[in-house]
Amino acid sequence: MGSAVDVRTLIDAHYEALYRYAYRLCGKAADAEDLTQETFGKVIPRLSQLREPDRVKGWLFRILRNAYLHKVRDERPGRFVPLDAVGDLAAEDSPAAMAFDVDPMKVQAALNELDETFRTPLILFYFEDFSYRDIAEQMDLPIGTVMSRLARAKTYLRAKLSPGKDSHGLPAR
Amino acid sequence: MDCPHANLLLMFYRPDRPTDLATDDAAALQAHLATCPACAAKLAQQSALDQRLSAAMRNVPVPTGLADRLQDQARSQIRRAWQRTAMKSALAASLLVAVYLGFVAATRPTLDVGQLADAQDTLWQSPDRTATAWLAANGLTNSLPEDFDLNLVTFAGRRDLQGVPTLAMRLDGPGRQTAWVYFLRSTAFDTSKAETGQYTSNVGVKVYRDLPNGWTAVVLYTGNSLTNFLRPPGSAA
Repeated sequence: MGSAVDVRTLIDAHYEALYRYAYRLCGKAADAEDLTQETFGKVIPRLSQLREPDRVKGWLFRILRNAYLHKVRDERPGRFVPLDAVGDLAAEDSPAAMAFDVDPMKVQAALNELDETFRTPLILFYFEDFSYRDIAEQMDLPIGTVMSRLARAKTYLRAKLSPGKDSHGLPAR
Repeated sequence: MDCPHANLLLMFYRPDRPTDLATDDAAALQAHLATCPACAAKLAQQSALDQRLSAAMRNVPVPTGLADRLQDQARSQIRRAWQRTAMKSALAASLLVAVYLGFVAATRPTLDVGQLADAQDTLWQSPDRTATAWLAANGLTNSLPEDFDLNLVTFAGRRDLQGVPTLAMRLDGPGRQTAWVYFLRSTAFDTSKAETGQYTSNVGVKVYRDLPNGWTAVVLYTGNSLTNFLRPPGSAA
């Protein structure tokens, strides 16, 4: 299994980020660990095919996402918040609306309510310094589509996490 | 650039990653921010929120021992891969050996003792004709170094000479006397140190160089001379 990338170094360098990404995608620690193991299990036999070691991180994230999509493909689809409507929500720009504390548990709860097509760009955006172009490559989407989904997902997330909002991020009555 | 346009771009703008936007848009936005305190303040608030969201997003405790479990999994995976490779190599080698043995078994000659008996009978009954035919078949007709009595020939073929299969002819004379005539090529032997002489009390050697067709002949014989193996004077060839 000759390769320019040493397996031990590869795992040490990326396992934490991969696990966190997996956790944010699926929301469960056990599933996140399985996905991380599955990702390295798929990558190690193919390391010799890696032509650009600098791009190994993007490769790992992409494989993990594919493994996640494969895993949830056969599951009953969850009920996700339709983000088509989120674009119509006016994002509050007041300093108060932007100054709230961010609870990681609430972040996960908000992510769980998003369809994967909105959740993944949001995670990658906030996660590991992925550019829009990187995210577009990860998801095989045009960069404009990524930016559009990201804008709606960010608006939703801010609204969801702001104090005084109902379970869908709408202003409490 | 006006504020609504700037607000749209701010949604995608990250100060530490200006290349996220097109160069022209990023330059125009930066110019606007330099002159618009409201938009600059909004950017500052948005960046601060993004930093908090980013920190919260990454705030996932990694299970203890996960690295070790992953390393163990990788080690056993690599070990299994090597075992599979070794097994495939062994199978391939076994297959090659089996194919080779099968080839050898399929192509080995069938021993035909009837043909052997016929050849021996022919040699027994007409040694001179058999020897003459053998000499002709091997380009040795004119390379016989002496006028040997071919009726004495009891063997004509290849014989191992110091590990090299060599054309050879045996003549059995009266009184259990034997002569071996070897025909050598210079490519097979260096004969420069081979000399004619009586090497033991029973065995003499004669070396004939520069025979027709480039042959060298070496004759080993028992007794004191070759006379007993030569055609009697006055007999027909």
